[in-house]
Amino acid sequence: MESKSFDQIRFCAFCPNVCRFNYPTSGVPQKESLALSALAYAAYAVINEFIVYTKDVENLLSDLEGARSSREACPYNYDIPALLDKLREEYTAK
Amino acid sequence: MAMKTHKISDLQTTPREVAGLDWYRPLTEIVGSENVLTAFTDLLAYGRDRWPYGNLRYRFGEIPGTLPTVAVMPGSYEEVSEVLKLMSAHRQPVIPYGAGSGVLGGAVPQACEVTMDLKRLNKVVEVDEISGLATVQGGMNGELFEAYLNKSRLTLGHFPQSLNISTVGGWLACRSAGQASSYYGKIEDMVRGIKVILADGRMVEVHPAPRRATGPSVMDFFVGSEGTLGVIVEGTFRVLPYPEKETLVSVGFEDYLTGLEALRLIMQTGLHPAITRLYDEHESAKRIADYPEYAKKPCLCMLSFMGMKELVDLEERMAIEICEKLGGQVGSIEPMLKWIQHRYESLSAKPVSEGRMMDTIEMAASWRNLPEIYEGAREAVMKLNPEAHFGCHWSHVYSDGGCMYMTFIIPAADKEKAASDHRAIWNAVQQLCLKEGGTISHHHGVGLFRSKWLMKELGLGHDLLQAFKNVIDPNHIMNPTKLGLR
Repeated sequence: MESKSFDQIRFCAFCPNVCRFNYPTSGVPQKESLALSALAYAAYAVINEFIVYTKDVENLLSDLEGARSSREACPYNYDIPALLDKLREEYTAK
Repeated sequence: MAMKTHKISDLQTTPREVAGLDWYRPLTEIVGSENVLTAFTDLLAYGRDRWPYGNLRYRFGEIPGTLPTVAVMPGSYEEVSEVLKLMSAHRQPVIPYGAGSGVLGGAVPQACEVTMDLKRLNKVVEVDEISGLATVQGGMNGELFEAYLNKSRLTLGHFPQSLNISTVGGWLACRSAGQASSYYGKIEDMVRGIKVILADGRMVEVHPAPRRATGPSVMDFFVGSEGTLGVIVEGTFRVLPYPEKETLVSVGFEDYLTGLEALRLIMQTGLHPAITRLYDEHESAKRIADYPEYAKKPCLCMLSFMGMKELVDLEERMAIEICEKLGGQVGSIEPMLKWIQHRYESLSAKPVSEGRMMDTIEMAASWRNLPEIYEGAREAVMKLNPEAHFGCHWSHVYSDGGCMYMTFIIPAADKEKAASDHRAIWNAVQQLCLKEGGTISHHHGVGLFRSKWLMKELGLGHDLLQAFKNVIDPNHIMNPTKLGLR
């Protein structure tokens, strides 16, 4: 993953989730793990090898409906769901 | 207070046998197995809130406590009640969880608690436009609740920076304050009725009334209880017509002391500005850099007035007169417009992601004591870490004093040094605040991190809180360790 993409994922992982208000309107179950910042943290943890890329992690990073609904509310205009898609494809292929 | 940490990598690989727990199967029968979360990735998300110390640990692959055993998502008040009865019977601690926007670790597990996520309770129950009352479930997102009211040209008037990332129940649980609080009041001024489910499953209901003289306020036991006394499932709030007019004023002052004096006189004159934010020179600098009229008046003060047009115009004029008599100079409102544009965004993500640690300490004190606390806090922080950034603003003002909101940023490449400096700064500032007669928290609450200073502030009062908790939560299942309570 290129440095700029990693920086954005790391930023999102520690962002207080200001995009969250769009997430409840999407109708997906409001599990914390599906909020954009939590997904970004999972990706950050995989990249830093804090966690192993398991089927559980792959499933999480495939469940991006809520994240996509939040994307337009990102005040920094980052497309984190696209980065998560890319990361998942990369790690699944390994 | 010892703060135990665990490596995330160890927790992922440690086998967890939740299905074998006595309460697990009954729990799934109450809420449905799809609403009991056991996956490691789910629990990892519930292991933190927005507590900066916790995020420091997460950044380095550690947990600032434990993960929850499971997370449960009840969908009705009855389910909340049944879950709590079950947990009480098994002496299994529970953490009520809204949207996790707290900054003191109030939702962070310390002993493999069960996290109870309340966001399925997210409905507006009723809006009574004649009485100006709105009843809403505790798990509703704050921004969505306000937007719902706005459709009827109503407002709650509660605008915390965390508006988008918090729940209505969370506001009540932590005794929240919004940015327009000097006009609309704080959450405790807005709430008229409440429903709380106790550890044994019974519901305490305080029905809405404009005011009551029926003994000590039962509602006030729960507003600010941070999940330690029960689960707040519903609140009824007074709501108001959307203001006819809002006006913005930016004033530059020669120094922060003159700005504080202006705010004191504005409040003691009986004016009711909605937003009042006075920044010290350090926090003003970036905001006014592009506006030369502030060069000789480097402390920025932002005011807003709202309500009926005639009253707004009068209050604005009188406030400006007070400021100008003290040498204040009205300047461009651009700095305020920029602040308004970003008022619900936190500034913390950038320094944290870049390897620094940012935290805020808010407290309240009388007008007489605020300057001494400010000077002492600044000196203490810079002495502890000369590389630190320290800035401050004063907001949420009253006739007798105000809230002081301090921000510090320290290097965090070495996590243990950052943790140690962070603790030392907090300790110095909270001790100073207590010594000078302030209160350790204006609106962030106590959570886990502030417990020891809370005990010092409340003294015997803290024993009373514990005694009350012992009666309504004899098995100590409701968010133990938070507020320093068992």
